Amino acid sequence: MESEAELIIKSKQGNSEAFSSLVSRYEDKIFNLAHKVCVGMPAEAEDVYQETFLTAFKKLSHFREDSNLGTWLYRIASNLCWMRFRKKRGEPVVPLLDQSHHHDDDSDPGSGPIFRDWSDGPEELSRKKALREAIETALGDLPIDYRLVVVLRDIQGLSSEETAKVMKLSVAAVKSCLHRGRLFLRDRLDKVVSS
Amino acid sequence: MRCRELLKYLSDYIDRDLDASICRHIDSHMKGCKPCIAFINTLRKTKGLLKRQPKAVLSERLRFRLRKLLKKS
Ligand SMILES: [Zn+2]
Repeated sequence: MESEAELIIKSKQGNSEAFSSLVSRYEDKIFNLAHKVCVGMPAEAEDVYQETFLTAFKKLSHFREDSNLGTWLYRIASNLCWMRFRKKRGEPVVPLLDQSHHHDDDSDPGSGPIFRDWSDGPEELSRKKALREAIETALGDLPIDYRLVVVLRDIQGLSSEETAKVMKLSVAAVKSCLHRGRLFLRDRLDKVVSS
Repeated sequence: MRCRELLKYLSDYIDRDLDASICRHIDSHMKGCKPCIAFINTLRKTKGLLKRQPKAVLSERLRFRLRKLLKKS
């Protein structure tokens, strides 16, 4: 099997066969990213998948060999997603509040909300399906920057450092987006469990 | 450390990406605070659910269509 570096050199010379071999190594990951970010819009996800690799093939001369191809492809795909879901100019950006977890606001102990543990019970199985669906819907309601970070970190399994490279953000900014995104999702799931 | 101060560290805490001294503060707080235990468990479950979301299946039709477009480009 040819090495990735060899395939990249051939692809840069316009060899589409070589580039197809590279595509095979990354397309499932890229498609999953697109699918998870474009919640409930399968046609958009297909477009992002396709455009990512067509763009990459066209712009491959800009790709520096000392960088990581996976990161570069994730970056193209994330950009394409971002363009689709970014707020239009003038539209207000709704800040994500750290909604819950203020049970020590009052000095009187035990006066705050009780947090359920979603503990395993007889209804656990039907709940699992409900939670899976709820998390998908909630992901779709997350502002796009948060959604991308959560998907890259917690679904695609990238590290904070890799996610920072993909998103061109600082590691601290990635961690903050991830934390607030998770809090938002946790809150929505809690409502499903409590209902 | 109060519950509210704890909050901002909880993702780093469950990712095990936290300073040992802050970790110890949280550990000792957790021993006596049931709401925080419940909260962190549900945050951990949220992370776990994301990780186990079923993977999207890429159809042969799409793979084929992309190859055809690449050949033409
Ligand atoms: Zn507490």
